[in-house]
Amino acid sequence: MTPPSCMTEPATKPRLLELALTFNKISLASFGGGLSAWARRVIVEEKKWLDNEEFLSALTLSRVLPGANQMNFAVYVGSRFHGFEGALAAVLGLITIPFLIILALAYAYFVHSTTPAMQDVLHGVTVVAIGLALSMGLKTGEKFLFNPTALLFGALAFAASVFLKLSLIAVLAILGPPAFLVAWRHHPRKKDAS
Amino acid sequence: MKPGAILSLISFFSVLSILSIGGSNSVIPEMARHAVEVEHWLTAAQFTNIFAISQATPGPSNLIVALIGFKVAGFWGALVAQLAMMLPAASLMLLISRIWVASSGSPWHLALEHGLAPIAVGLIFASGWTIAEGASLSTIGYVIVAACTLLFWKSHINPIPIIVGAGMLGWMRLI
Repeated sequence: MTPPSCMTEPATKPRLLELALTFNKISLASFGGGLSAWARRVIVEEKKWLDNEEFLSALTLSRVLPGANQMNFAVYVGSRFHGFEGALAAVLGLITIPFLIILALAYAYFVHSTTPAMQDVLHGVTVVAIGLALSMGLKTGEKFLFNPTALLFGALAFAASVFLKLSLIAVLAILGPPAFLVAWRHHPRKKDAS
Repeated sequence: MKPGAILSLISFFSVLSILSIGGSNSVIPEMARHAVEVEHWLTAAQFTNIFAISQATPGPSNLIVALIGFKVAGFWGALVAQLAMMLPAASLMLLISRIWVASSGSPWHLALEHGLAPIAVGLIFASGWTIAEGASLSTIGYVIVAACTLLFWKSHINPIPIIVGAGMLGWMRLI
């Protein structure tokens, strides 16, 4: 499948092995699942495979559809460049080493009944993960700082999620249609170079 | 290998895969109910422990499924359960990704992408906030969060050594 010319194309299309190795690198640095700040750093900033807006839309798709967010994101990026084979390479890169680690831990826990000090390690790691999430919000959001409509929708989404405890699906169902209509009215003809 | 157990792993996790809207953690309660109370695959205390183990392991959030599969039927149980949890959701994602990429450049695609971007940013902040709320941070914890946020925002420093360091500080119960 050839994406239409207006989608910003990276200088070089990644090879299958590079997709697998890159998603291996992403998965080994992400704990607790779900946090995609490190994925953005690698895919958008280092590799320049996606621009900021395509990253955000791929992330939203990955979060809305069923399945682990990271795995869905790997499917998106892999298939974007190499269809089914690309998705397979990215997912195998993502899952293989963590699966082997979890087998070793399963063996330690169920066969030798050792509980490693996972909670304590996780607590330390969480502190950095929060910093990564907030810094990703700042990086992806700083260009909306002087755009009142975008600020309003961002703030409403934050409040709906944090204070009203609405689910992701509910937030998108309520805020998505008006946000779509506003963007539609502005009738963007080409993407911002971001 | 236990064929009956393998089949019940496949039938349960392949359905759970499609139900896990918003990520694998959204189906943890159903997973716990089924594995502990319905099938008696493991005890409630074991479920709590393997949840912590899976959260602290690098990689996608659905690895807890491999731990349950391992308890039920060893290596093959882990492999089969993990594949059953991955394949249905990944197939759907593949289909939607192809439609999304093929439609790029169309007005509705652009309006969706532009319109939803600020909402996605708001939700990113919300996820950081929600994790912080649940983490019961100490004052030092908040200082480190602020420092990490600033550092990762304004510099290109590699977070991996910092993640490893923070894990060690947590292990020594210093954070």
